[in-house]
Amino acid sequence: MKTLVVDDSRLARNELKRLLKEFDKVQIAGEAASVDEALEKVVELKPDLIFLDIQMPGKNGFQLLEELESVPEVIFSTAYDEHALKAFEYNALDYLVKPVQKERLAGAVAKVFDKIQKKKEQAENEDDKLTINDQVFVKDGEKCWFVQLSEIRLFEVSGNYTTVYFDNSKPMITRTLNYLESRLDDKTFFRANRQQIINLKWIERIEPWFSGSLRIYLKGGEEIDVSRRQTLKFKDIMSF
Amino acid sequence: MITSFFAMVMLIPPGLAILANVIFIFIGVLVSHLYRLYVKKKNWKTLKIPKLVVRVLFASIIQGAVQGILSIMVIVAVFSIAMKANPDFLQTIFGPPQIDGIDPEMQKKISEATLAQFTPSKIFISLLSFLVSFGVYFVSWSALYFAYQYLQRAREVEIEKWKLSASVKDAELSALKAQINPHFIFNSLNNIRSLVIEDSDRARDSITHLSDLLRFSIQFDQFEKVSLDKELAVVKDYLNLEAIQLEERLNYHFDLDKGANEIEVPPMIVQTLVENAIKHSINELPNGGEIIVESKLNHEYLNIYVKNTGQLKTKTSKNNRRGIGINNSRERLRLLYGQKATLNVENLNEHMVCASIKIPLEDKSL
Repeated sequence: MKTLVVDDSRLARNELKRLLKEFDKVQIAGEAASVDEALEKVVELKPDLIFLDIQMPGKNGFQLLEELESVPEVIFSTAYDEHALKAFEYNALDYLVKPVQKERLAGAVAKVFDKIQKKKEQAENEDDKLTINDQVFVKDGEKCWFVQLSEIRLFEVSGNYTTVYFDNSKPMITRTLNYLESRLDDKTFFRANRQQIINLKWIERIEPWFSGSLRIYLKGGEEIDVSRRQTLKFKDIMSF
Repeated sequence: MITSFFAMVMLIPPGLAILANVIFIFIGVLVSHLYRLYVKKKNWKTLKIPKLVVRVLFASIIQGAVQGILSIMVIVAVFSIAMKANPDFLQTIFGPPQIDGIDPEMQKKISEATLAQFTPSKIFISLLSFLVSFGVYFVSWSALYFAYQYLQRAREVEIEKWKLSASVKDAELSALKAQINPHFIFNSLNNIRSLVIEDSDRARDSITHLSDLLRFSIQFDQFEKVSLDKELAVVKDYLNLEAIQLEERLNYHFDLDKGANEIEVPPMIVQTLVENAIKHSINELPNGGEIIVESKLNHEYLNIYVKNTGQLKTKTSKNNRRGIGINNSRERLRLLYGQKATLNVENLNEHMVCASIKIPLEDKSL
């Protein structure tokens, strides 16, 4: 696993690197002392895993994740920050408190390694686009999620934001729907109309609607009207 | 009860009167106790006065009736005992006086006429007056009882108020006390762990600094003031530890007035300013900055300055968070010195911020 260590304290980075040396699976690809530096390193090194300090000068760890389009696996490290980590109550999330216990580190690394292996088996044909196995970081007010794209049923325009539908949550993200359309894999995600992009894997049933258009019912209960122009395209995709 | 006792003594032998009255009192106590139990169960204390008055009147009438009926039963019993002892008993009380010189025939007629005066309606009215007089007893009993309860409750409320305001003050004081940020402690421990391998001498020094800092923060609670010397020793410990986290990003130096060393200051007051300077300026500056701690003594005041690189942010954004530490310190100064002590934070020039504390020297002539 290519690993990036992000912490503003040099000594803390060194300590973590020393601890990680004992894990054969982990290769330290680089380190960063701030969010801006980390952003460059993520683009450059494409790490599988980031060890991320939460409190850093300027921007904090969450802001790094918000700025990333697709986030690799993340293990948070923090000196004392229970409050910030409570945001993640809905996600299984690994975090380490500093100074780090070796056993806890080993547990976290093993867990991440399994997850990455599984992902690699599933994603054979990777191109530049986001696939359903990629995960995104979503922050809405106080709550945070790591969401696999395969779990997202629907993207919907809400003013300048986009609402993301998954599980029982509907947080908003700052990206535009047009941007998302250009980045999402069109084998899975379909632009049904000007307001919505749907995940084809979540379709429950389809009914013909007025003047040759379609109405799609998603498994989450949402009802989507496909515009007439897109209906032609949809039929094209779905036919053999 | 006493009046009824005297009234009875006039009519019947004292022994019987006493017995009857003891029984009256016993019945009275019994009835009022039952009433009190009921009042407690229904929690009448908490009722509003108009509601209470209606209830008390009604309850008193019932009690008066109960007491009256029981009392009459007692009187009947007493009279029947007396009649057994002296068959002419009734006659001696209610009958006309025996007048000498009147023939028995006449005497008998007068007796009958006298007894005939006791018509049912008169008996009924006298019974009613019995009830009413007992009712009045119970009304006054209730009045006393509830007056006492109200006084008691008023006193309890007063005590409760005092307790509350005392605990609020306590909470305020403990909230004002500065304490070392746990985030800082664990970061320091983590850094020291790393230093153990890279620079073991420095690691050992750092453990000493952290120990001194923790010892001070645990102990300072007991003291209202410490010498500036001691306070600055802690500031140095703190800066030493911050330096291993921030490394080259933190520069600091002290410019101290030797004469001020023994002046007493509130513990952690300089430390709070320095911590603020790091948290809000050096921490936010990727290239770091400088902190200067100065002390100056004149005839009336001790002045302490904490200067740091950076600029005060405008009132918007995060500025409110910075306010808490400063406001707490200001409040502590006010509690200890009144209006004479001041604490100000302002931009010194285009790239420095200065926090200054002014503490009045104790008047030695006193």
